Amino acid sequence: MKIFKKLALICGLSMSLIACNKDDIDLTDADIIRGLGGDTWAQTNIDKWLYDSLVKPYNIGVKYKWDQFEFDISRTLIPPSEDKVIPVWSVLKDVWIKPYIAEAGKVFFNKYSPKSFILAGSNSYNDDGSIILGTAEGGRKIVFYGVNKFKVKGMTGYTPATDSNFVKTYFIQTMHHEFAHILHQNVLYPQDFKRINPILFQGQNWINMATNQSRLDGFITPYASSGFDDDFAEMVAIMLIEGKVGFDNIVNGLTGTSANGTTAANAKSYLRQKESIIVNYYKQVWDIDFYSLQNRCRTALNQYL
Amino acid sequence: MKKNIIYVFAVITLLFGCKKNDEYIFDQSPDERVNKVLDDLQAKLANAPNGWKAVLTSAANVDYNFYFDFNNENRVKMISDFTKESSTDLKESSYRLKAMQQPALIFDTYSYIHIIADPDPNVNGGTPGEGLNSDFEFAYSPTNNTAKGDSLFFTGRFKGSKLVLVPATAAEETSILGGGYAKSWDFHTISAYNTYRYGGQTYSWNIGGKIFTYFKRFTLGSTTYDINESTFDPFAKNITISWLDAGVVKSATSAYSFGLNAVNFKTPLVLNGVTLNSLGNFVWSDANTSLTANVNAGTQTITIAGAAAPLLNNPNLPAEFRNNSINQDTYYESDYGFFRDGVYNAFGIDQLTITNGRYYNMIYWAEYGSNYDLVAPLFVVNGALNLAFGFAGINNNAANPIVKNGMLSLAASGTVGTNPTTASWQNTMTLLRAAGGHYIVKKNSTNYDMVSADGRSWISWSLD
Repeated sequence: MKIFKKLALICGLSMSLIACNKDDIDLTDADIIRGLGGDTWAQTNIDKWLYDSLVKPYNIGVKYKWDQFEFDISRTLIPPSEDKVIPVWSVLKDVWIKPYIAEAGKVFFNKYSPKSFILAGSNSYNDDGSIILGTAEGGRKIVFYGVNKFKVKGMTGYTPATDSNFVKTYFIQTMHHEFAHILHQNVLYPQDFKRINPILFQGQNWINMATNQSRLDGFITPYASSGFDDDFAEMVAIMLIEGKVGFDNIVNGLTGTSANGTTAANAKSYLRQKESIIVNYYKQVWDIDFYSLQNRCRTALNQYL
Repeated sequence: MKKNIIYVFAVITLLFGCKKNDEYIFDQSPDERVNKVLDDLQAKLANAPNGWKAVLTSAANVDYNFYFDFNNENRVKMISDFTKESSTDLKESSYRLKAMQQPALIFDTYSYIHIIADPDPNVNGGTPGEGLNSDFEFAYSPTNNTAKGDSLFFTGRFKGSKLVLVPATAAEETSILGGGYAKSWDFHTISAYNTYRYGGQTYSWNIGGKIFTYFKRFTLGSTTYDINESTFDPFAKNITISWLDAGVVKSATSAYSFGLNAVNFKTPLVLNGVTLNSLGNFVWSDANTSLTANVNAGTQTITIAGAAAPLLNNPNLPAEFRNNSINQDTYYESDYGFFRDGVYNAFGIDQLTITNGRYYNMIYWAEYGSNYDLVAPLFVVNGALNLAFGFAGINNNAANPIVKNGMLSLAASGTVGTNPTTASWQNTMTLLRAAGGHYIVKKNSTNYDMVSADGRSWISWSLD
């Protein structure tokens, strides 16, 4: 009786083992699955340029051909024009990649730089009429919008009055902003940074702030007043795109009193304290001379404006 | 005991239940089938000897013509009738076929087909964030494509626009590459949309309008027909033609699309004893400021030219226009000032400023004062609308009625507040008080056009 039970059990077990015994998985079928391993297409000069200039040295991939799944599917967007891809990335390489590598080395840059970039030809429109310039997801993927409007000095139809600001604030500022986020997400800036003018933060109300009002409250842009991390990222970004002279002009030019009652003298002091914390942070955490980096970034940007 | 045996058998049955059956309902695996569809489609696209003639019907139901020349290296050359330039300049970009939920054709870098879908209103005049409701990513269903000859049918994956590809003949390809669609653009010379002013700059509409009067006229058979700006929309490609039948205005309306040196009416226009299917072979005359076209691809021609007055002025409309405003105690508004001689916002009225205020819009308010109608710009000051100054059309019933001879007359006038000496405002006031007065043309119950007596200037008012 007992033996029979055991036998039955063994029988059942062995059958289940046999049933599990499969032939080696046949992978030849996988070759016919279209798009397995990503979309493919006949390579062009653009693909070659991106591979040689970004993938090989920095492991940065740039997707410019339309892929709906990279975007918010509720938005109407269009792909970029092919003739904008290399210009956008030549500029980003000069004003972002090269300065950081010169100051902190390639190991630092390759370790922390976002690896996946997506380009969209148009801006992304919000329901309230405002537009999105760029989005970043977890320090890995960055989407740049409005690529078809990208024009720098030397390109046909370049109008300094409008285009220089567009390039500066839409692309370069976004890039520096997102990269600053990645840095502080790895090693947070000192807590003192949050104690400089905490009660003046606006949260979601930042969209209603005018630039000069925000600056009089000690925020370099309205968006900086939305939260501590964005305050940090915006400060870094504006300092890097404006250069020391430009940043000093902004700070020293403040006059009057803000609607919240902050005097210009206080605003200047807030901005200077933030600047000083950032400079120390870059030095102590990343061993980067911020003013030297700032000089390199602005000099590189200047040639395109 | 018996129980145990049952368990054993149950386990065995369960385990053998895992045995797979590799037979497909169809004779091939899904991957093989999708690959076949895509390979067949690729071969069809690339092997058309004279390229493809295509019609893209946007989700807003507007037709756009295209020409595509696909190769096997993911490249496509195209022509589009969207603008005059894109009708002649062959542009190359990329495309790819992809197995998504359905097999799909994706135009994956920017070209003419994306202009229509672009959410930027500065590119195509569409709605910000929406564009003109069109696609550049299309699903291809092989079952929808059987028994339809050589044509290929696609459906937009995002907005649901339709794309139909027909193999072009050698003659059609020659005509398209020779600018056949560009010649169709000559039809739009009868529009007044030539340029517009904004922010102190003058821009082109890309419509190429050349007949700057509000009313246009042509004769076909023994009937005189009217086309006017209120019902001719070259952006949405829609037109209404009206005529007088025993003193009564009759009209026919249709959307149209471009053909090769022709426009085709989607619903044939049944006019006074004649049906209009198409107009073509356009010849513009600078000397006469008129457009000659062949009717229904035949030898009969019509010549469309500008006119100062409507076929029949409805004398009751000025009073109706004013009463809407008076009865509802509200105003009509217009984004900008006068459209004049082919220039929208002709005087650049958006450049008017007041202290701490920027221009918002123009308003017409009947009986704003006890004896006057107000026409004025509104400004935004600290987030609120502000009325700083304005033009007053005196309505002093006995001597100076505003409604006179079926026209809206603002000839007797004064001003309210301190009016600036800026040319944009002074010119606007001069036009408002023009001696001949203004026709009122009704578009619908809340939208009216106020057209000067010479037909050269107008403002489109819409009730707030």
